[in-house]
Amino acid sequence: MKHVKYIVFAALFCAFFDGCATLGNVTPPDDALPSSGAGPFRKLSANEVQGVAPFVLDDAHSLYREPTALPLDGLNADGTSPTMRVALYFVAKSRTSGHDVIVRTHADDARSFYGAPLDVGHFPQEVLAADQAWEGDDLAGPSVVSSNGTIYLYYATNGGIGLARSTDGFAFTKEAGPVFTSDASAAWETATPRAPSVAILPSGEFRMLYNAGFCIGEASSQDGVHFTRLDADPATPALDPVLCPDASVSDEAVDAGATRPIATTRVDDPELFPRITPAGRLQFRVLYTGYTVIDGVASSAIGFAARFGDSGPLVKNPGAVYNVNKNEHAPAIFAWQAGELLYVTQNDTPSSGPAYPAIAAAFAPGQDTLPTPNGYAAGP
Amino acid sequence: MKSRAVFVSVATLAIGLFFPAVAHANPLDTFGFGSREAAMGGAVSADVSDFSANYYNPAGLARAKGLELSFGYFRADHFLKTNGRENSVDPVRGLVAGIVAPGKLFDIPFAFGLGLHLPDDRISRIRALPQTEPRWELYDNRNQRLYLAANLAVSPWPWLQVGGGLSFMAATEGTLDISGDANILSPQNSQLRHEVDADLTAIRYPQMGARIALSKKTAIAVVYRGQFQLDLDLRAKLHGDLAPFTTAFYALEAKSVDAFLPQQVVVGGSWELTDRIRANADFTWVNWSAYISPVANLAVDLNIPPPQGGWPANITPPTVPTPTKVVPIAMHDRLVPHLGVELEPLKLRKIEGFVRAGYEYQKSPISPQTGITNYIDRDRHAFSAGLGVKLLAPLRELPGDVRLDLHAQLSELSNGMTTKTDPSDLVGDYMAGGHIWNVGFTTTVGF
Repeated sequence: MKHVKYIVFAALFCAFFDGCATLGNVTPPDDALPSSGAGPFRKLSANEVQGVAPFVLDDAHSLYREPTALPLDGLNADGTSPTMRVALYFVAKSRTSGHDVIVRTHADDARSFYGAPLDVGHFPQEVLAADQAWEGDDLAGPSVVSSNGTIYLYYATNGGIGLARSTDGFAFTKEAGPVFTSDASAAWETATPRAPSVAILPSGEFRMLYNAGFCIGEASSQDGVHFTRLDADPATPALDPVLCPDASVSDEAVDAGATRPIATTRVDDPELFPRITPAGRLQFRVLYTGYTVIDGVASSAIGFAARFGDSGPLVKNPGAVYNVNKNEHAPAIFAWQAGELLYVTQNDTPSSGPAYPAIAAAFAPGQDTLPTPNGYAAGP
Repeated sequence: MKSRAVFVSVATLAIGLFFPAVAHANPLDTFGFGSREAAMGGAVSADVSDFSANYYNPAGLARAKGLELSFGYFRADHFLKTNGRENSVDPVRGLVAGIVAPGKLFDIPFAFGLGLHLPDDRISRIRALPQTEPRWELYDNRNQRLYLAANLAVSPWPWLQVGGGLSFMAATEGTLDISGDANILSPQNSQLRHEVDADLTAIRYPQMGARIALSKKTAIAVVYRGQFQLDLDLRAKLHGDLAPFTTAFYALEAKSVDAFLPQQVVVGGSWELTDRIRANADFTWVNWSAYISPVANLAVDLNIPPPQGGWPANITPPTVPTPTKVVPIAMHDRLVPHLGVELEPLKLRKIEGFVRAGYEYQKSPISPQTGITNYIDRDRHAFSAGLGVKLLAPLRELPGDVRLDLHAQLSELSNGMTTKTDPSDLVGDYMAGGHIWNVGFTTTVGF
């Protein structure tokens, strides 16, 4: 009985002092919250990137822009990369010819790319240049996807969308002609198709989104070479695009609570990254550049649109997922278990000299912080 | 008397069977108050006489036989997941304590009681999240707060006890005022003055209860707990010169409800089935439909006139954010059944031992989150068990008793899928579910 007394008093003693240890603190946000994997993104901070944040590839001469990302270690079942190793293909002004070519580099931490500004003496490797008459002088808007050991690199030219294939990601073999060109039956297409983005659906089918004027259209292919246009609205006789700009909203309407659309003049640069949601639905996810005019000034922002199922028009999210007023455009996305990195072209504004395009990075979920970057990758 | 007891018992069970069941939160609603009570699924409104009566039924205080002091501790760890990944919802943990001081007034038994739950890493937490951000609405923030209750009870007749009192919480109101000069070209010449004014305002809400002994072995109870809301009212002002360019004025006012507890009505009964077996049942109606969305209403005023000659090319002035259209949270009233049983397998002259078990079912009151909001919740089945030991007159200086009670409670939140109607929703479809472990002890010294 004597021992019981001591036990009781010991318990009271411990409980009292534990309860008195009351201090304030800042609690971190909850972890691993559900997300569509499409932002909103915040630009990388100075601790998350080597060099001048948020830029990961920046060269005032080569004008790096229009990136597309290729995970280098395959994909998990949920479509995310198992590691942070990623290759970027993007447009650069050739140091020899002066024309726009497609170059490649890679990073082991998704940020410290070989050939970045502080990786002195190194440059991304040129993998594709215009050398066909139908291509013109410059290449643009690359989109890269891997299937069965083959890397498919789609790119925009004067003559339409071209395709080059590779097994090692460096040596590409071009198709003799464009794989996707203008079609008079598509009335909405007021320009040559450009800005391709190709992804492979769970069915194995290749699906392409492209810009051809002010809107974005869709095409499908079984082999990645021969594409057929898809009609977003079969109920109408016309061949309809999947995404177009919205009507402008007056300042009075905005003051009254209406949302100002991010795209009223053009939607461009689609980035297609479909997934199967936890509910088992195909979510056809697309990032795009929205252009609008506010108070007479043109501006751009990165938006998100999607649909459930593999056909039909896309529905826009009303807000921007990335907007820094730096002429941001041409989004590319790289997803791994911890989140998504957005690579985007935006203006670098040096203290002296004109602004020029460079590749910046942004991250979602915004409340999380990326680990300190590694050293630069050893090669492109 | 016996027929009344049977009628009331049947009526109580009928209420439980014919009404859909429930859910609620706040640390005591979810995890109980006192280990005996937590082990019995919180089904004690007609069978409580210690410090926990301050929460379960103030009338029970009048049944105390002598002065009682209680201390205890509990810890509830959340293992709540979305899409198979843990969300790291903070644990709820802290001291529980209370006192019951009985006496007689004009020969009528009365008692005064105090009950306290003191979290051991914060007294209260404020958190204002965008309405689109997923959060476990009933577990993430609402349970992170101090609880203090003071009650009085009387027993005008041996078969009737009535009691009531107040519970106290704290609301937050604050102002941040920054003014001065910010010289962009010469930061060392910048001078900013700031003033912070914050108040913790006491919020009180009533509670009252009655207990009627229908016979020596049967009692019923009814309890009312009032509604309260903790307001979070923050204002910030920033004004001054942005030398050498322009001036700036920025004012923000955020008004939100940090936590809301709906009013509750409890009807319960307690039946002594044999000398060593007691069964209890409570049914709690929770007025969840009155719940107020925890989203902040923001009012922002921003005025930065362009400098002479317009803005430099590399400076983009900020714009006023679009006001948030708050989507009301749709919740439904619920009836929560609590069931408990207590066995007394050990009954000696100086020591008694108890084994307890309980169950409660809390059907989620939150409507399916198919739109832009993401107040995550799932139906909760809570299974509990506990042990108790009571030492009778253990010391010559302590002619009363000493009790030690332990409890463990496992709450299972059934997995369920949330599907979105808008394919461009930034959160998208998600699976959510998980479980919560709650363990603790309480010691009571009766004089």
